[in-house]
Formats: sequence, structure tokens, C-alpha cells
Amino acid sequence: MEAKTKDLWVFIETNEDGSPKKVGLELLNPGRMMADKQGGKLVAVVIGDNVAESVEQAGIYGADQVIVVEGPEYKQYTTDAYVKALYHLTEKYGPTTIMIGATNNGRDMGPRFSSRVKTGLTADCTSLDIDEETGNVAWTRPAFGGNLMATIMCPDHRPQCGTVRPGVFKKPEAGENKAEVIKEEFHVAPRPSRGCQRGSW
Amino acid sequence: MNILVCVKQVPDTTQIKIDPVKHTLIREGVPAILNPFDGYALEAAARIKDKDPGTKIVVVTMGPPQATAVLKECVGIAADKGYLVSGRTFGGSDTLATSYILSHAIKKIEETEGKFDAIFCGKQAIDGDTAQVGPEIAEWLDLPQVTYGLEIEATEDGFKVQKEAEDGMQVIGIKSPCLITFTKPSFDPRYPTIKRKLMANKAKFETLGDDFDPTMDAANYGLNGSPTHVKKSFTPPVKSGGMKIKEETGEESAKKLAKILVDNNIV
Ligand SMILES: Cc1cc2nc3c(=O)[nH]c(=O)nc-3n(C[C@H](O)[C@H](O)[C@H](O)COP(=O)(O)OP(=O)(O)OC[C@H]3O[C@@H](n4cnc5c(N)ncnc54)[C@H](O)[C@@H]3O)c2cc1C
Repeated sequence: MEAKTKDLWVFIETNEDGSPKKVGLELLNPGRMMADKQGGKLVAVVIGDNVAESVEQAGIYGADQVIVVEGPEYKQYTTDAYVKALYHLTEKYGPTTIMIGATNNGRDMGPRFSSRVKTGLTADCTSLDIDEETGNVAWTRPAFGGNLMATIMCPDHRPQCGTVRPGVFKKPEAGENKAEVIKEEFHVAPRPSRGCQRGSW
Repeated sequence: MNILVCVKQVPDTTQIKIDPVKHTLIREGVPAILNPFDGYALEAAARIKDKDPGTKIVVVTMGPPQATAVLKECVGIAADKGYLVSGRTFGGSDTLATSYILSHAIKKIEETEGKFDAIFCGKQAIDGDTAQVGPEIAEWLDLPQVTYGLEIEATEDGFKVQKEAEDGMQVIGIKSPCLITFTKPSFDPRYPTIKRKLMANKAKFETLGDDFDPTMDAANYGLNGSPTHVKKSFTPPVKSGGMKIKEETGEESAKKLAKILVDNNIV
């Protein structure tokens, strides 16, 4: 996909009650540094149900813009609905970078999303920067059971994507909420016919 | 039931040492093993076969010719057949490229083995550690997915999967055909039996080489077809060793620990 902007997106994963998972807010911290170096906006993408609190927090912790997709079909995470929504937003707005918290859901959604876009995804990063020479994100991650660190880049595909390990970065300082909020109406069938449903063992 | 299990041969990363001078991984002498998570995926398939003996289990691995060793091991444990995907042009593939090749290989294997009701993968390979290849194969093949599977049961039109979630356990119903990745369950996978080992020693494995599917686009695999590139690698700084607290009694140890935590403003 072509990047239409220099914007950096942070995916804010929500709990079932609509509050944000910590890792999304943590990522606004390196996200700010990287968005500034990239010369674009820091955008928080919130998907969930009744997400007012998450939208507010994303603004308080420094997002320039918050894009919101809201609906009962997003109350519980499903691969199908979340990947469709994130894909739709990406196609429409064309960010240059997307960061996703490496929670179980984030690592379920990330590769499904990046392979739909046909772009690169760096897994479970623990350190982030912008490469001065090329302007690409330099994603650093452990491999070989933590015995090796690798710095990975995705030079020719956009958006460049990575999942980032929770607890590595601290939440930024809270500040005045100046974020512009964009509500996107995007809905998917609540129960995909072939798909996954919660049940009991 | 027809199940395909994707397996990878990996270095036993628990035995990898770091060269203290060059700061590189010492790979010599490190045994190549079946990725443990793929062993859990195979065990899940074997448990389905225990209940439904008509089940066929096929394994596939992509790697150099010596990766046939893991196919053999899988036949020794429970698999009925195995395929090796091996070609020079496949080398250097990142996860997107790897999943592209494997998804084409799966379609090719289905021409011989029939449609698979389910594709099982490990949650992650212990060398690359990305946990991305499973969901990416599911996307190329347009299959629903469940990740972090622990236990599985066949249902009328698919499977019931118990999966690990951050806040406990979830049970997901999924229709077949589908793709499921497995993490470490609470039980140990079975060992090979002598009888199966003898069978495995005689087993022949078909190889899908560079040109197994002429419709594959070379721009989508290999080093040049991979969107991500490893720019540099280095060994992490050595973690400073922990601290041992071992007083006369448990109570004294606990008190000492509490004092250290309080003195250092940790609690
Ligand atoms: C240090 C280092 C870091 C890397 N980081 C990244 C990265 O961040 N992003 C990226 O896209 N690539 C990365 N790669 C490339 C990646 O390791 C390879 O593409 C590798 O072939 C597949 O990834 P994995 O080992 O992480 O597998 P995983 O995605 O962890 O494997 C999951 C499951 O997929 C199946 N599977 C995986 N490989 C095979 C196979 N060869 N044959 C059969 N089944 C298989 C198995 O069931 C396995 O359990 C990195 C490589 C190195 C050396």
C-alpha cells in the first residue's frame, strides 16, 4: 500500500468495558518521539465498544488525533472484525507506520493484518528508533530465546508495522488533551458465519 | 478427518552459547530439534486421531534437506505422511514470504492428500520467535484462525478450542477448514514408539523444490521478496545475576526480602 501521510499510528487495544489496555498508552511514549522524527502526526486508533475513556486517555497521553471505530461487534476481540476495521482505516488514511501492543490479541491481529496489506511486521519489539540515514523505523527485538537481538527494517513496504512488548516503555506524562477526534462508522456482522464464537469447554 | 501440521527444525536455543569475544551465537554443536510448539500441535492432532482413528495426519516442513529429520521424528510420534519444501530460492524469506511459500505448498499437497479440515501450527518457532507464520498462512488461504490453542476437540462442523488469553482461558468454536496455532499445554506430548520409529526409518518423503508451483511469483519470496530485512544483530548485554535470600527460616527470609523491597522503594 502507498503511504498517504507521514503519520504514525498507535493501536489502542481496549478491554471489554471500553477502557484502554496499558500497552497502547505506553506506546504513545516512543510514538511521540518517532512521529516527530518522521515529521507526521501521532495518531491513536481506538477500536472497541463504549470507548469514551480510551479516546480521552489517548488524548491526555499525547495523541494529536484519535480515530475511533466503535460498536458492539468490537466489545470482545475477534480476529475477523478487528482486522477488517484496521484494514479499512489503513486503506483510507494511509499511515506510514503502525505500532501494536504485543499482547495475545495484538499478536493474533498483527500478522493477519500485515499479511492482508502485504507488508512487513517486526515481532515483539523491545526498542524503537528511526534510522537516521533512511528514515525507516529501526525495530529491535530479541530472537533465539533472548540470546540474540536483531534490528529489523522494512524499507520498501508501507505501512511499516511492528508489535511491541508490553511493559517496556513507560506511559508518557499526562498533559492537556488537544486531540482531534475522528469517528469512523465501520461495521461488520457481529458473528461471522464460519467464524469463531465463544463457548464453554 | 484430514489434518496438516506445519513443523520447523530449529536449533535447541536452550543450548546456544554466546562467543564472549565476538559476541555472536555459537551454533556449532547445538542440536537441531523439532520446534517444541510444533510438537504440541502434533500432539493435538494425535489426540484427535486417538478418538477418530480414521484421521490422517500429514506434516510439512520448509528447510534444507536435513530438515527431513523432523518429518521422520513426527512419523515416529504420530504422523502418517510428510513433505519437505526445499529450494535455494526460498532462503532468506521473512515470515510473509515463508507463509506465501507454505500456503502454496499446502495447496499443492492437497492435490494428493485431499482438502485439509484443519492446519495446525506451533504458536511460534523458538529460533525466529515471531509467532507470525501461522496467522499469515491463514490469511493467504482465507481460513479462520485461533491462536494460543491449548486443547482441542472435534465438533460436528469444526472444533472447540481451549485457548490461552491474557486474563485466563477462553473456549472458541471454529468451523473447518481452519488454522489453529498451539502453545504449551498442561500435559506432555507422547514419545515415539519403537514400532513407529521403525516405520519412520523406512518412510520416504516427497520434496517440493524451487519450481513446485510455477504460478508462484518470485517477487513474493526469498531474500528479495521479503518486506523485512535484518539490518544488524548483536548479543544482549549480560543481565546482572539475581540475589539469593536464604535465611534460617522462611519467616526470616520473607522479612529480609520485604526490607530490601521497602529500602529500595520497590513497594
Ligand atoms: C534474528 C531474526 C529476527 C527475525 N525477525 C523477523 C521479524 O520480526 N519479522 C519477520 O517477518 N521475519 C523475521 N525474521 C525471519 C523469520 O525468522 C523467518 O521468516 C522464519 O522462517 C519464520 O519465522 P519464525 O521462525 O519466527 O516462525 P514463527 O512464525 O514463530 O512460526 C510459527 C509456526 O509456523 C510454522 N512454521 C514456521 N516456519 C516454518 C517452516 N520453515 N516450515 C514449516 N512450518 C513453519 C510452525 O508451525 C511454527 O511453529 C527474523 C529472522 C532472524 C534471524
